[in-house]
Amino acid sequence: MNEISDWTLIGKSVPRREDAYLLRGQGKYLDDLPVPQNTMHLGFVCSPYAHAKIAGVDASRAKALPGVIDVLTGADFSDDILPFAPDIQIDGYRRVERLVIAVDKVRFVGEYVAVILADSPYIAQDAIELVDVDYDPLPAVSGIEEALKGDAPVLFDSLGDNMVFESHFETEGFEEQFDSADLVLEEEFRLGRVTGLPIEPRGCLAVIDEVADTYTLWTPTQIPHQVRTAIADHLQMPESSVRVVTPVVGGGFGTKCHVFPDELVAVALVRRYRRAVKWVQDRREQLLSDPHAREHLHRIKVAVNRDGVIQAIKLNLMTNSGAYANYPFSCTLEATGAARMLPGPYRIRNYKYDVVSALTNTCPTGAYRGTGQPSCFLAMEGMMDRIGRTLDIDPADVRRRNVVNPDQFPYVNVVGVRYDTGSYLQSLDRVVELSGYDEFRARQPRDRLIDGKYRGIGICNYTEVSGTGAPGWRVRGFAKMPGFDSARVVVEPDGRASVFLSQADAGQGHLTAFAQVAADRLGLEYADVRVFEGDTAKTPFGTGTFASRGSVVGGGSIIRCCDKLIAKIKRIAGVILQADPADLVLGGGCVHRAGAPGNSLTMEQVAETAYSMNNIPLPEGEDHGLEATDYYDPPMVTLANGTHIAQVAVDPDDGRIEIENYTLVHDCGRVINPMIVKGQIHGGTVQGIGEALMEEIVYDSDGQHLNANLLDYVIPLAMDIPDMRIDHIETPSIDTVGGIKGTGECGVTGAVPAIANAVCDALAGIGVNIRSVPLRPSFILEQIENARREAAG
Amino acid sequence: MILEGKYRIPIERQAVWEALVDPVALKACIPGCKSFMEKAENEYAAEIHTSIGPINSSFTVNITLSDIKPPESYRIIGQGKGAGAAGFASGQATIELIEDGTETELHYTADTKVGGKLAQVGSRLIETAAQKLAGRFFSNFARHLAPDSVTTATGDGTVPAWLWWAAIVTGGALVLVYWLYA
Repeated sequence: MNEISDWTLIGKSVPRREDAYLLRGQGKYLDDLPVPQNTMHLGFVCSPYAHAKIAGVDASRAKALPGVIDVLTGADFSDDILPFAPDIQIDGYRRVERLVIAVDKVRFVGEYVAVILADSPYIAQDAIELVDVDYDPLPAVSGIEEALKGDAPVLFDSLGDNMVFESHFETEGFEEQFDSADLVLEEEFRLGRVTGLPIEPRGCLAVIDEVADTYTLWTPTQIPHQVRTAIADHLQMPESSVRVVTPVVGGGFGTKCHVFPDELVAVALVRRYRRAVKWVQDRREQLLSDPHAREHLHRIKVAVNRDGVIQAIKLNLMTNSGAYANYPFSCTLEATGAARMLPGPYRIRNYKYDVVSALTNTCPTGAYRGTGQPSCFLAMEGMMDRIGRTLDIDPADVRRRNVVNPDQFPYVNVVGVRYDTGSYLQSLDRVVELSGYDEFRARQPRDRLIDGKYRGIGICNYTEVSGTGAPGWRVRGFAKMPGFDSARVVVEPDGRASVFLSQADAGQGHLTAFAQVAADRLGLEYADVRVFEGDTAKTPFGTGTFASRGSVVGGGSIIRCCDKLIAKIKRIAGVILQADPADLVLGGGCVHRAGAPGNSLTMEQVAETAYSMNNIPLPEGEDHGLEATDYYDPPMVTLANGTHIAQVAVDPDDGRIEIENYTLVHDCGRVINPMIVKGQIHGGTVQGIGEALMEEIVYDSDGQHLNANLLDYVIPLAMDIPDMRIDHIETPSIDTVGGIKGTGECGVTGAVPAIANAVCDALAGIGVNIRSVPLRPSFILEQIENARREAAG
Repeated sequence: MILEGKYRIPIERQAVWEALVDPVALKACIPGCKSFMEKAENEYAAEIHTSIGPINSSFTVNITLSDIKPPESYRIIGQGKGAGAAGFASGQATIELIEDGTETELHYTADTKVGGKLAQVGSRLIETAAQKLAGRFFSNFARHLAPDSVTTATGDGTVPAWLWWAAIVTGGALVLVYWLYA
């Protein structure tokens, strides 16, 4: 089944069908949907305090405003909506509950305290200003280390402290191995707090169908089926009474693969008032309360021998959970992710990690493109460079000496993850060549003289976890994460095909790429296949689109489903053509005997028989219709890989960093559409550049969010982005259906460490040690200044 | 945010002290101050309208004076709350008057916190906003006491007494303004 040859559409840069309507402004996003008459518009009153008791809510002034239908507080939902409390079954996890609207206590700035129902969104906004909430402020804590101190304010009295998750792993005989190496290097790496920031903020529209007694929630989510399950669970209603539909989605990046309080509130209100409910988030609310990510602190010790080969790694990782466990990923996603992914493409056999996640009075953290990977590779790849500098070995060579070699696949890494195939050494060698790495090294000492700027080069050689299946989720404690996805493929009576997939596109080009897969498999023209997603009423159940799983699991389930359907097509055609079905092949929209295309049936003719629209009877025992449904639960994880090289110039006068050369080589196995893959890499790398050089959500020590606006939360603009030179290696997976590996997160995963390493390389000569991101000009200037002061004694 | 400062005032301490506890001039001169009422002894309630960056809101401010040691020092504790979702400002300031012959040195230390929308979209602007408001307070005050004269006496050593009085109240008000807006 995995041997897929003679593809004609897969591997082609078919132009995206989505662009025809997206580029013309014809995409219908949530806020473009027509709303029923009498729709109620929501507005959420958000806490200005990071930690406070709610002494009372006086909504009388708001209720008096004409156009306000009602103002509800948390107590009004206590019978309707169960609190969020993700079911994570892993040692060291402590369950905490989150109410959709706070009742007695708020724990972060931006937490919902009350909800306005109004005739228009404008009135709802005005009414927010008229709700008087009486808060009794409590001491708050925002930093990870501070939160774990004995005297820190405690968020949940029931826990007694702020430790919400801890996890430990140690290989046999670890300490002995660690102690016997030639030397030990240690370092501390920090990542700032960032967020996905899709250009389209979130929102939802809930409508009631009185006839069918169902509720439809339109929401720009990456996980429609999981949203439906969560609504049914938390509102205690039949799953069959809820339909979740995604309109066109303006970017997800992991931010939109959570289930949110506002979605539950909207459905609870449509159920209560029997009127449609709409809510659209604004940019400030997005920055305040959409899931944040990263804010990790790695303390890493690497035991290494004089030849640069790593003998053992000891990792101490702290992550900031924020005030609650997000749903469905909770506070363990980043913590288990970063620690388990850290060995990456290297032959690490002795590994120990201790991970903690702390509750703080900040917005809950969750999934964002890359999850733990930009973080763990900042640490791992940072250590590779430090080994090189300490032992006077070129950093590229340090990596070559530690990488899993081509003859070692399949390889099972130290935490039990199987690497079926990969091109770890090849991608490193190729990017070194393409980027002119060796030539840069040769001229690096001279280059500084040109214009007074410090120049450096940085590498990130990474693996990318993709297409996680059920076993991969279970091992990390996610008891309710399905892991599989599903496809229903229908050859319609006209012989053209429709594909219904359990996933949800958020801009990745699924309607194009998956049509390529299905058309190729069914031997149809690309134009004759249409793909439908993002509607729980139309598509079979599945996990959704996140964590670089779309192509692996979506592609795999379509291939499996097509194969099931092809068997039926061949059985029907075999009877008509009087041929053994095993001798039949599909291609050019027809079914014929292999090597004898002259005597063929069109797909339409087969379909006519299947749908009883001609005089040819169905073969005995065959059911009517021409469709199949199949499911694909991929392996634990499928590892893509690649190598980024960034070359930067640091201006010591203003602290600005310019990326002068950016080259990367990338391997995501079988490529469905190279143009789309390239787009994923571009977009991810841009987010990585943002995370490395400018983006950071800042909280003060009292948990006040200091930059919930786009003037102060700085994201990269077109002018900040260098030309990227991208090359592909195609090493198909031998474990996944179709040989596909995921690609959504490689850009950010490679970019953050490569840029940080390049800046560190540029400034190492003057005694500056770069071990955190973002690297904003003010920070760089301060580091240079400190180093100069220290050098001056 | 902790703010510190000191002023040297060439009049005697008792006079400075009396000026510092007079709410009338403060009301007239704090930019946007709509009311300044004495609620109880050493307790005041003020309503101040101001705009910082994109936030344009009325703030209700409760002021308490404590640790009063005339004419040496007192502590001002303030809680300012913006209307609706504008956020809040709170803080305390210690003001100390040190006697130096016929002159007085005023020291202040203010510790302030802002929260909510004020912090989320205005934190970058707060310091400059506070400075701007203080500047407006000075010019208001000069006009308040000498409506016909906007010139400032400088250089010749004979500074009119009213100007020193203005400076004293201004010093106090500056502190007030800082912890309200900073």
